[in-house]
Amino acid sequence: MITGYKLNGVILRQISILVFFCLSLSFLPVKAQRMLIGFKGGANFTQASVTEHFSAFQYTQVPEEDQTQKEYASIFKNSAGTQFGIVASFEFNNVFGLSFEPSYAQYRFGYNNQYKWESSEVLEETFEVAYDHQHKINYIELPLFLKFSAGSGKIAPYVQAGGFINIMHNASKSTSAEIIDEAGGSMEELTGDNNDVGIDNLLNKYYYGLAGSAGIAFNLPYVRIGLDVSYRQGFSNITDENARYTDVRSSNISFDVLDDIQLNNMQFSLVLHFPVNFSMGATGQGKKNTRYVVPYDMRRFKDEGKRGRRRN
Amino acid sequence: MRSLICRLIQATLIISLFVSCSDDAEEVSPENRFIRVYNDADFSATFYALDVKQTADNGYLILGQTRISESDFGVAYLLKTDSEGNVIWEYKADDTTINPAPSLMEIGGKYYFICGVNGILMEINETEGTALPSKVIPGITYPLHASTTPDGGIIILSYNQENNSTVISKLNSGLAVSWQSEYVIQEENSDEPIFDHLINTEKRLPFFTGSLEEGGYYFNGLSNFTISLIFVDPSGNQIGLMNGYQMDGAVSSIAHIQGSQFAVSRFTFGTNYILPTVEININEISNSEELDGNISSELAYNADVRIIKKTVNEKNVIIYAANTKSNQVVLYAYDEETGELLGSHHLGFSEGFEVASLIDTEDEGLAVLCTTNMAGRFNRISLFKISKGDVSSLCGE
Repeated sequence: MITGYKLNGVILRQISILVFFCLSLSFLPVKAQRMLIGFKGGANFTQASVTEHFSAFQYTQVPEEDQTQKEYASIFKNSAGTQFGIVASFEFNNVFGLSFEPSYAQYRFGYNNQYKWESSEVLEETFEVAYDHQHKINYIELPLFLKFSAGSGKIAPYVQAGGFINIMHNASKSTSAEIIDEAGGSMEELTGDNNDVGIDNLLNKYYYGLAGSAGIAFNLPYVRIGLDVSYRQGFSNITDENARYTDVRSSNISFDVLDDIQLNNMQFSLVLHFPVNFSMGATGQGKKNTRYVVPYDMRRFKDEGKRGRRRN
Repeated sequence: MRSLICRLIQATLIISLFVSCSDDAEEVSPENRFIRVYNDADFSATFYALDVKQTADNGYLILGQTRISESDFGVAYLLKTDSEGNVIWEYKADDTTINPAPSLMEIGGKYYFICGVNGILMEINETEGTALPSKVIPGITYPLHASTTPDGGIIILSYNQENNSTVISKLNSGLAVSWQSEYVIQEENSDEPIFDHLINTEKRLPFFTGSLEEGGYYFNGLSNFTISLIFVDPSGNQIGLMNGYQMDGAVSSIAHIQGSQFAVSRFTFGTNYILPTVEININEISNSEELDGNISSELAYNADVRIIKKTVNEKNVIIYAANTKSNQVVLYAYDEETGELLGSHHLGFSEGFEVASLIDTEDEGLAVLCTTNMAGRFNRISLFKISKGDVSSLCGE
């Protein structure tokens, strides 16, 4: 039997190999034709994938209808998070490149569950409470992609594949309750208490996995605009197993404990790339050339644009 | 420039990987640390925790009390869990097994508890998940507490309503009565607090029994006009006495360290005192009011307190578990030698937790049994398992 710990170790090794493979590519003696830096931002949706359920609460006799089980929302039912960051791309030629896209992203996911107590003797003696648990995790993302572009025209589709390591900045959990207290004299759903608390102490600091993306780049003079859709498949558990029962709030049904969860995240981003070339000057005197150099293909687009206007 | 950026990326990722692999937090397995609240979906059901023991399979056997409509008294409730606190079986007794005393006792590999209006010793069948009468102990009515003794017997504290007296009984290893002593209660209407205690309608009183390290026994029960801590020799003859103040001042828990040294807690008119190392002359008459100690302003009014002795990283410590004003259970660790407070740790949150039992576990951790109010309403039993590492942290290690 492979325990969670051993499994994590295996995955960690695989990810490490992948990351070092990507890093070694960055050290290949290949002269990049282009270097681009820029910004990206957009929205993302998260799917929580539970590898093992946990709860501090347990029935001594499980009722026919057990509603206490956590039901996680599907990816687009979860609230959208946002991400923004910088992009640094090294393009070895018109097809292959390497892209490092550090960003700050908020992942959001949630689940519902409810508890019901009813009397076996008096019909009106029932009490129900339904909880909506929402989680927000703010990560510093460090994804590294190998990029494959289809051509270098004005419109260039591309795909990317790589890995990511996320560093958790902070995390919070909010819980809202709806109550039906028939025993207390209410037949209607009442709004219960809402809580919003930090859960940084219950999550792993690092989160890693594989990532892929696809998009279309529009090469304009001095700027490349990209529309990018990326998907991150988490391989590690976001929950710190060693901290699971350390929080005193875990003994409260409105809080409970976290499951073992892997997050899968889909991001929709607008990317603005600016080509740069700050290579050492060719003056032969060792002076640094700080003059901005428009890469050759950008100059070509620009020149073609000028020629087109002259013809008209 | 490109080379510099590449190196920065590499350094960032390597540091990230390195840091992710060097987490030095305690590695905890599911049985080392957990919280369990045992729910029953019946609106009218109430469960009160009484005692817990760790069984040979490293699981837990829990004794509780639950209400039934046929009796004003609660009946015995048993819950067996595995080592991770998951329910294996539960047993709700009928009205022949009312009023279980808060004491699970292991004798010869079997578990017993005492209950009933007449003292019935119940034997638990772990395999079948039941409890059956083992024998009726003569001379015992309304058992209040019991504990095993070093000679394999049992010492039982009980209330004799007819004589308005407290009875202390010693059973030998064959579970036959060796001796019984009776202590008359002079206080009028002593029935009321005792029955409030038994049916859980009011504050439970700090009844307990125990054995002295060098032979002899002690018990906390009603005698004359107060809740008194009484010391008896191995034959049951009283050798010393520590009076309280009616129902408003008494020793709430005690553990014998050695000789005349004890770890004690006491209350007086709502104020709680913690005395991790105190000298008590067990051969004289004294009053609990004379015991100076640390005032614990955090503890609830006349708080329930439990004490165990423990060795943590070769240091002898005294661990207290007590109810707080914030409806949590707090653990205090004290150095046995110096009486210094080493650390504290709180259990439970917002729904109200009251300590029932505190035990040492095989993995050098602790288990704390509590009664809680699930959803702020429903009395249920909860079990906190505290890991060895957490105990070390509690003790300032």
